[in-house]
Amino acid sequence: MGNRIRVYVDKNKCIGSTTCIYYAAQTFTLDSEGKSTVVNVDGNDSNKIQEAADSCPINAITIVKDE
Amino acid sequence: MPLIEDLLDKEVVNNPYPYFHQLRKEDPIYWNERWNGWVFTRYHDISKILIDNRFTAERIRPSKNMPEQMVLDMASTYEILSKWMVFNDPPNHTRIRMLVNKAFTPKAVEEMRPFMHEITDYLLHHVQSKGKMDVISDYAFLLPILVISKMLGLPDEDRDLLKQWSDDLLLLVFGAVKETNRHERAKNGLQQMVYYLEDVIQARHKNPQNDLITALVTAKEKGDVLSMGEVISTCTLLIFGGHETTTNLIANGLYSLLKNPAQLEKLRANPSLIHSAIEELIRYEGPSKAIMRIAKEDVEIADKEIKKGQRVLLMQNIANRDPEVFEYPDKLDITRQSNHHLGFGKGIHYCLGAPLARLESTIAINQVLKHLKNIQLERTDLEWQPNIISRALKQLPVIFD
Ligand code: HEM
Ligand code: SF4
Repeated sequence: MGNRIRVYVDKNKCIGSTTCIYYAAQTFTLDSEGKSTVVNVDGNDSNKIQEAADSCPINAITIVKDE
Repeated sequence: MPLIEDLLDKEVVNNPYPYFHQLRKEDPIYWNERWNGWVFTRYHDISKILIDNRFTAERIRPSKNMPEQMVLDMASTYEILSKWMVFNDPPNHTRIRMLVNKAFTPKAVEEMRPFMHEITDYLLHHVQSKGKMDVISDYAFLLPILVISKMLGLPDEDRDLLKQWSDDLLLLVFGAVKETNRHERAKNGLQQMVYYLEDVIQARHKNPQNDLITALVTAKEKGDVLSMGEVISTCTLLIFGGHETTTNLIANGLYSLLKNPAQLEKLRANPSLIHSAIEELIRYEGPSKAIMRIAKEDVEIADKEIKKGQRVLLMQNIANRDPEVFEYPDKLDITRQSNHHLGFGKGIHYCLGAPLARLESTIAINQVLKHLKNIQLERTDLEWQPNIISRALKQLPVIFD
């Protein structure tokens, strides 16, 4: 069963630090402009994804938990 | 246009924008013979290079024409600087940055808020009755060093020492070229700081405290920890990296507001604009003028061929006024939206201290507006430091009621 969450990266804010990819490499990847995108919300354990969001230097990642 | 080869030409230093606007138009990727490298001035070029791994951040090395004895003397300094994450590429960079991330958290920054109020209250109270101050030496220079010492957990009585050592090393890192003895002073300052930090770190190993040094010593990530050398080196980076830069953000920011009284009044009337105002002050007259990188291989950009081993100078402040990206780039507008300035860099080296710098400058500027009535520039013929990578006023004398 997958993570019951949705993950968004605010591309307007992302400065491409790659921190999220370090924590959750199967979930985030850099696009051609050097900004993070979500490739798979089930790519990593949900607390790894949480750690990625918490570590983003400009708070560009939002996690929404499904009820 | 007659290109000015000397990047430290007095007129260019005092008023860089007209010259660089024209350079951006006429030769946006410009080989500067005298600096011996490429000068970039367009936002999009700079933005791309900062995320391009064909350029290395490993740039700490003795200069080519340094006498051999001096290279040997300086070896210990370069040893410390070479461990600064900002001068490392992945995988070393990733390792150190992610470990330091564990310690230097938003929470640790936020906890400093009351202390920042306390210090700024104290400093302003001190000058209030005099009716004048030099914003830099009486105010902006003191706050960052006091805050970072407190965060690290260094005893109050040692702050003056740290300030002295920090000044000494800034000579080397920020390259005030004409200063004599600059290597000597940098070396001594750094060496003394290293001995000092070694003792503190050892004490925290034995006896953990609730401070940043303890957090650095105990940070673990994927089974890995920072070595003693890395903790020392990171402490020196946090002290130096955040000192002159934050001082200059506060000073340049106040200067820009004082030169644009309508904007200053707008901010007084709407204190909630402070966040967009800080971003705009960084864009408009940010403390970091340029970032340097070195090409690891031949790279073609636009019609220029950057050769392996050549240096590139990425002019952040000029990119931040690129009309391709910013409307009315030379206008200070504290309500500017979508302000994607490059003042803190971009990509993997994006300033780790940005949250701290933002909070310190927010409080410092708010406090000045709150406590000092009718603040004005005492003179307008101010001079800027002749320096390639930092944008720093020599003095900022102001008067108030
Ligand atoms: C307004 C103040 C500041 C400005 C304008 C600024 C600017 C920058 C810039 C442009 C970089 C990127 C350098 C590069 O790409 O080569 C950087 C990196 C860094 N800054 Fe800041 N900085 C400021 C304040 C601070 C503070 C307060 C601290 C910490 C106490 C700090 C710590 C760092 C560190 C550790 C790095 C290296 C990050 C890395 O390599 O991954 N900075 N800063
Ligand atoms: S951590 Fe944040 S800034 Fe860095 S790449 Fe991910 S989303 Fe972008």
